[in-house]
Amino acid sequence: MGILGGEGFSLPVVTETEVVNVELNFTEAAIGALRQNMSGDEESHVMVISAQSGGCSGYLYDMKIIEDPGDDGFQRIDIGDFDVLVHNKDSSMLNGINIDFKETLMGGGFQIENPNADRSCGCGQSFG
Amino acid sequence: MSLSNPLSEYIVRDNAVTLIQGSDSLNVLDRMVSTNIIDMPNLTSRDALFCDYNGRISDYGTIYTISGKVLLISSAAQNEITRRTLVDGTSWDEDCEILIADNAIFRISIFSRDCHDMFSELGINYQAAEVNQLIESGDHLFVKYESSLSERLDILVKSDNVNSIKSLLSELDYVEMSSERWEIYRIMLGDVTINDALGNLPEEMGLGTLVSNDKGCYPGQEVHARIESRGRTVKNFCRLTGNSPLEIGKHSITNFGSISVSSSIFKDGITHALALIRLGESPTEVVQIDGNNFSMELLSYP
Repeated sequence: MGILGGEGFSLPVVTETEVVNVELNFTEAAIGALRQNMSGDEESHVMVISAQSGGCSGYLYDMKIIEDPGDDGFQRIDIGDFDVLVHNKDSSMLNGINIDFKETLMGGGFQIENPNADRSCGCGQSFG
Repeated sequence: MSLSNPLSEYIVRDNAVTLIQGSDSLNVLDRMVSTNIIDMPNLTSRDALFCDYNGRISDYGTIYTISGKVLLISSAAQNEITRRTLVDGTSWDEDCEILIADNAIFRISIFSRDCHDMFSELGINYQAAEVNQLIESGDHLFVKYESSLSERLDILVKSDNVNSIKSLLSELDYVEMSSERWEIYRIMLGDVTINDALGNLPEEMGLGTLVSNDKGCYPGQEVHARIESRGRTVKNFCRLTGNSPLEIGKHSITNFGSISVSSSIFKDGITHALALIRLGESPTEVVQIDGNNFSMELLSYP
């Protein structure tokens, strides 16, 4: 059976994550860039914004365009032509974020400003 | 320094044990530690540091890769914070489950002057055993560690089998260390616990080798990169030995500054202690604390 077989394993007892109603703020530039990236998949795909551990400050932003996973566990924000989803577990960390898109030769791309963050990394991809 | 190496002793370690399973388990953990672990082959172990955004140590553990799963043995004192970080830090689409294994798996550390004999007594081929490589034998996992001061064999054992392993060790004339004996031996080895390391910088604690400067971003990376570029630290971890008791806490050193003692035990007229000292212009071998002399040795990762 090996060392990892058998009994005695249990799920960690952690405080339930607070779930809040998410509001996201997109600039016109960000919506334009997203529309371009969606490239005709608006009906079947959504963009998911999430947070995961890592980065210099503790958490990293992640943005993915994926096939619509449905509403189970997610909050759906309609921003016009398409939907943006935020998972409930990330709602308190991402509520109120401002998403912009900057086009520069270096360091361009989506820029997120997070009012919930006490600190952020120089590259702007990490917060804590 | 003369190290009173135990003839044949062992201790059942008091640690937090966490099982992380799922195809993303190593990725999730790698994002959180200062040590590069993503390249760990199956059935190996590696020490790793968890740091906060200021680069200061928040937990210290050993990571084991076992057939696609990851076992993390870390400090009992910080287990809630570390597990919370693991749970919160797993993205919604990652295949990673965190399970507490405190009552399922135990780590027994065995110290012996003659590791060849010890290995053969436990049915392990010493020649084939490589440092940090896990060897499976029945329901147990064995791993060998070497430092300049000692050799150690760790056995990861299921809770049901702890007593049978202890009985076997007893039959082989191995003696279980008391907590006091372990503390003395641990200090002699310079074995850092989270009590020593919490809130300090890895370089200061002699744990700079557990910071992988080439792994990209992780909590504390900016601070660690700055320390590396400056090439020096202000404080250094050290071992103190003397003939007078020394209390844990901050002390003044005559004509020197201050020292923070994190571990200390006074036994048979001798004090063994671990401390963080602010380095002067000319490092000294003897320091005077509260009017008593203590010999000092700077320590680094074994």
